[in-house]
Amino acid sequence: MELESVGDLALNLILTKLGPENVGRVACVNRKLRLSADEEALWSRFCSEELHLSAPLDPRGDPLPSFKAAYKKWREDFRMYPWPLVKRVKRCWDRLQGWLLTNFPDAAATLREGASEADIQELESVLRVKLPLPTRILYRFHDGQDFDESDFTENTPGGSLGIIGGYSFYGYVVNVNLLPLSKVIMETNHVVQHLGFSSRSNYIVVAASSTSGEKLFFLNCRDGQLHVGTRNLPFDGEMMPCVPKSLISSVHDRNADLQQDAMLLWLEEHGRRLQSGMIKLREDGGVRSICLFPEEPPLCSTAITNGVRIRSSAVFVPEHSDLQNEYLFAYSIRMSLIPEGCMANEMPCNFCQLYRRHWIIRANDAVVAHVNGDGAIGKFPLLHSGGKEFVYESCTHLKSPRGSIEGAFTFVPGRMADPKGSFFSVQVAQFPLQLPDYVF
Amino acid sequence: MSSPPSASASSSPPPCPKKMITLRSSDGATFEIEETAALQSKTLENMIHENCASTLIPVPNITGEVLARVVEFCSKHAEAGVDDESLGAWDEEFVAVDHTTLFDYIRAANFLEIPTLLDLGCQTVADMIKGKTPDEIKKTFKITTACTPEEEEEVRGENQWAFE
Repeated sequence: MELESVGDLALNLILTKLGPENVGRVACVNRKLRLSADEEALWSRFCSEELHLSAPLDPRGDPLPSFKAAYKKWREDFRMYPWPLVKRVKRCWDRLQGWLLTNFPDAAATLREGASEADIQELESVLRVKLPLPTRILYRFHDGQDFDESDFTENTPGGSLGIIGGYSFYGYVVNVNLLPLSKVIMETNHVVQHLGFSSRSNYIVVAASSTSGEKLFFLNCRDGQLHVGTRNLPFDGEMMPCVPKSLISSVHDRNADLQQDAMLLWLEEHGRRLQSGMIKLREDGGVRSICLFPEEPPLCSTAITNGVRIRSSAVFVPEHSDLQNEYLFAYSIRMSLIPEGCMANEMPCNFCQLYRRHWIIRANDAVVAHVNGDGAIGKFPLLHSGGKEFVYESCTHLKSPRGSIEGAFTFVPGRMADPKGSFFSVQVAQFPLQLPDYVF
Repeated sequence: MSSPPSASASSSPPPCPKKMITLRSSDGATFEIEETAALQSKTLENMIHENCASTLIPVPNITGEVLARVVEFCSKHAEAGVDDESLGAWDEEFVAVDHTTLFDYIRAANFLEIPTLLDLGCQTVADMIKGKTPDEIKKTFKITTACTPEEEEEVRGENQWAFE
């Protein structure tokens, strides 16, 4: 008896287990099998499992008449790449884009449509490089970010919509965005000329801070590693790697089982951090941006003393560090007073004001500095119970890639002009300063 | 007749008789199956719960040869204390049959609603198809009804991506 004799239910089960490629071949055997292989329910399932599509859309997001047609379009549009890698890149973008659409739609709106194979080939021919496979596919999905005039305001002269985000301290603002291929060409030519890289350099500029020309990310097309310029970049082209080297593999080999370059790994890590809440949106003066100061332990410490909560974390600043043991770390301190207030003379009090700070800074485990000073960055914030966090940023140099900061603030209940009790000390729990494995 | 156990020794309770169901194949052969094993089949389970299973159950679509094997499958899968690895090996041997017999098992599993057997059978067929070209699939299953050359070319063109 023929294969069709097992019945429709069983046939559908067999085809489901076969997966799309084999079903495509079974369809060519005979008419009955072709009919079973054409069932929408089957292709709807494949589209859902492989591409997380709940509607039949093509790679541009335009609707197609059937799931079968949609699956076919995706396979055809990406036939020049290993399919598992295409699926992986899609998952990476889905995660990033999903987070942006929910939390930062203004930034999501700046993501451009995918580049075409022709666009990529043009870049390769102009810059005389060969893009690593994962990066090519990343650009096929989204060709960087687009900004228009309205994204640059008085408050955000450089823009704040970079999807990599950044930090700010002492008026120095960093906000990193992904460059579209056209800008990659421009920036790379400009920088290569300026920095005197050889014309056969394998480096292309893929990301940059829009606010300060000092932070540039370079992709090495030959080995697939991503680098960020240090403070010595303008002088001797010094850069540091952004991704653990051991993870990078087979970036130009279509036949390998696993291809991953630094761009893919970097964006995947960034997506994970956004989704887990390790990094979040910051709102400062009405401007929202992605902030790279960690928000969760172990990188962010929390302590509550007498109702005052202090959360603290640091971020490594590569563009002001170098590879000769000069490491700059910026840190963010967030302070707030819990709704119950603080105690003063055994009475609850709804206000308290910062008076002094004391830091102990360590490099490795040895104390390298004590800092004592009034207020914090010249301010004496007044906290009221249940109110918004007061946040400030500062920085410190270290001669080692690893260290820590801890300390204490002195607060007065009420206000300094009208104290309700005596000064009390509030702990700043130790938080790490460390050169991260992924540098953003 | 065996002597009764001595009063001082610990004695296990006398074994209770297992409830048996009788099935009759399309060609009139009868087979006994333990109720616990029969519960593998949703069809039989429903009948048991509605007390229709007290007498003989006719299974008109399945021949004696196939029904015997299905009973064997259900009994094995209802056995206590069989580890996953040995069961897997037993299953592998069970489906090491020609494709016609395999289709018989699948049809029986479908009719009697035995999800484990259906899944096993379909997975085996899928494994036989994986990686083969349309011609190889035809040969493996001795499929004679084919498309016309024009039809075949049309479908091939539609599914070109599956061949790259």
